[in-house]
Amino acid sequence: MNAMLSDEELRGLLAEAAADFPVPDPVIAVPADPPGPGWRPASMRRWQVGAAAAVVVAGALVASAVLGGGGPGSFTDTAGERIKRAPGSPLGYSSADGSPAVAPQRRAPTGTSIPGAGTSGGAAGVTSGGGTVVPRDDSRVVKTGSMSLAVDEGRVGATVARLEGLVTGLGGFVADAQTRESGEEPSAQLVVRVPVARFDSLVAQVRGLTAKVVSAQVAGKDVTAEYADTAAQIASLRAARSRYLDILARTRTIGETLTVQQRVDDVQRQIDRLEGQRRVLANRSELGTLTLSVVEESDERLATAAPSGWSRAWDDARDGFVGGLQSMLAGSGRALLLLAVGAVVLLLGRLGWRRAQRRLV
Amino acid sequence: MDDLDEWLRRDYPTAYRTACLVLRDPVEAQDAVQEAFLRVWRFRDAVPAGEARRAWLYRVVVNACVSRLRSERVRTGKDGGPDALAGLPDRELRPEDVVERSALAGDVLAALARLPEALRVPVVLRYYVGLSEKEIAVAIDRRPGTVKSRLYDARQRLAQDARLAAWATPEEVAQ
Repeated sequence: MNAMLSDEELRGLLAEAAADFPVPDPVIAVPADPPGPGWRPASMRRWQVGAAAAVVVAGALVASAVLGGGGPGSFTDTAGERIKRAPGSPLGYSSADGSPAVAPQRRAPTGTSIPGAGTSGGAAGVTSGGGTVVPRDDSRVVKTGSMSLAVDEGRVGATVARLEGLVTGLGGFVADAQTRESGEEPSAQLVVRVPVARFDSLVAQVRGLTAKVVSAQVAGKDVTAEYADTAAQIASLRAARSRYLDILARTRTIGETLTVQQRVDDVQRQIDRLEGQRRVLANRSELGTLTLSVVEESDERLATAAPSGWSRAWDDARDGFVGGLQSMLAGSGRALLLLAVGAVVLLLGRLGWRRAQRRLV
Repeated sequence: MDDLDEWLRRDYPTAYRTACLVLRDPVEAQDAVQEAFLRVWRFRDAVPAGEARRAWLYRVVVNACVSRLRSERVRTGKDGGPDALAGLPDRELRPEDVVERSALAGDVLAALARLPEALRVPVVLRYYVGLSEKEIAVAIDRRPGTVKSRLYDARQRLAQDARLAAWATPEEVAQ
C-alpha cells in the first residue's frame, strides 16, 4: 500500500482523470476585463518590483524637495488645537441622479480665490465682486465663491450654526466643516454646496447676517458648450462600441478577437473618461460651491486692511521661497541617504567589474 | 503570429485539462485557460522560441490557476474541496463505463485535492503534461532541485491514498 506509485501508474491515472473533462469549444471568449499593458508574470522577481518602487519613491522625494509646499502635511492640524468636523457633514456624496460627485474642496485660505473661480478664462465666464451670473434656461453654469466673515468675540460657533441653517434652508448641505472654537484664534471654515439657482440667494443672505464681510469673491463659468460636446462624444463613442461588439461576435481567430477587443477596450476607456467628465460637470453645474471663513473680529489677521494685489503677490512669493527652503532642508536627509546608498552600489559594482576583468584575464 | 495562433490551438486541450486537474472545476478551468491564452497573445513579443516556449505557456496557465485558487480561498476561506467534484462532466459512454470513469476521475481528483497546491501543480505538469523537471522549474519559477523534492513528496503522499493505489494496478493502467 505504501509502495511508491510508479511514473507510468501516475501518468495513466492522471490521463484517465483528465480525459473525463471534455474539452470545450476552443474559440477564445474574451474576458470582460483583459489584462492591461502593465501586466507582468506573477513570478516576476520581488526585487524588480522593489527596485521600481524605490525609483518611484526617490523621484517623489526629489520632486517634493524641489517643488516644496503642498505636501501631505499641508493640512495637518496643529497639535493641541481642537478641530472638529461638523456632525453629519457628507464628505462623500452623490448628486441627485446617483452619480458620484467630486470630492469636497479643501478650504481656501482667507483672501485667496478658489481654484477655477474668477481666473477660469472661459469666454462666458462672469466674475464680479458680488455680481451675479444669469444662466439661460438650458445653460450650465458652474458657480463658485468664497467669503470671509468677521464676528464678535465668542460668536464663531453661533455664526457657523446660522450659516448651516441658511444652507440647509436653501436645499444645500455642508460638504466640509472645520471649526476651532477654543484657543487664541477661534475660527471656522465651511465648504457648502447649494443648488446653483439658489447660490446668489445664499450669498445675499450671508451678507445679511450681522457678521462683517471682510472679503467676498463670486465667479461663474458657463460650461454649456463643454457639457454638450462631452455628451455628443459619448454618444458617438457608444455607437462605435456597438459596431465593434458586432464585429467581435463574428471574429474567428484569436488574433482577430484580440484586435477587435483592443478597439472595444480603447473606446470603453474613452467613454469612461468622458462619462467622468460629464458627471463632474453635471455635479458642479447643479450645485454651487461657496467657501466660508469665519474669524473673530479681534483677530490680528483682520486688524489691517485687506492686502492689495501686489502685497498678496509679495506674500505668496515670500511664503513660496521660505516653504521651498524648508522642504529642501527637510528632504536633504533623504537625499543624503539616497546618495550614500548610490555610492555603495557604485562601489560594489566597480569591485565586481574589476573582479570580472581579472577572471577574464 | 499565425504560428503562435496554431500553437495555442494545439495546446488548448492539454492546457484546459491541466487547469481542470489543478482547479477541479471545469468552468474555472476554462476561464483560467482563456485568461492565460489572452495574456500569452497580448505579450506575444515576450514568448520565447523553441523548447522554452511550452514551459512558458504553462507558467502563464499555472499562474492563472493559482491566482484563481487564491482568490477562491479569499472569497470562501477554504480550498475547492470535495464539493468541486460535483461539477465533473460525464462522457458519452455506456452507463457502466460512465460509473467507472467517474469513480476513477473522482478518486484521482480527490487525491490531488488532498495535496497542497505546491505539490499538486508539479505532479500535474510532470505526469499529465509531460514537462521535464527543468521545464517545471521554469513553469513554477523554482529551482529544479525543489521540483524534484516536491515530486518525490507528492508521490509519497499519493501512494498512501488507498483508493488511488487500488486504481493503480497494472491491469487498470494498461486499460
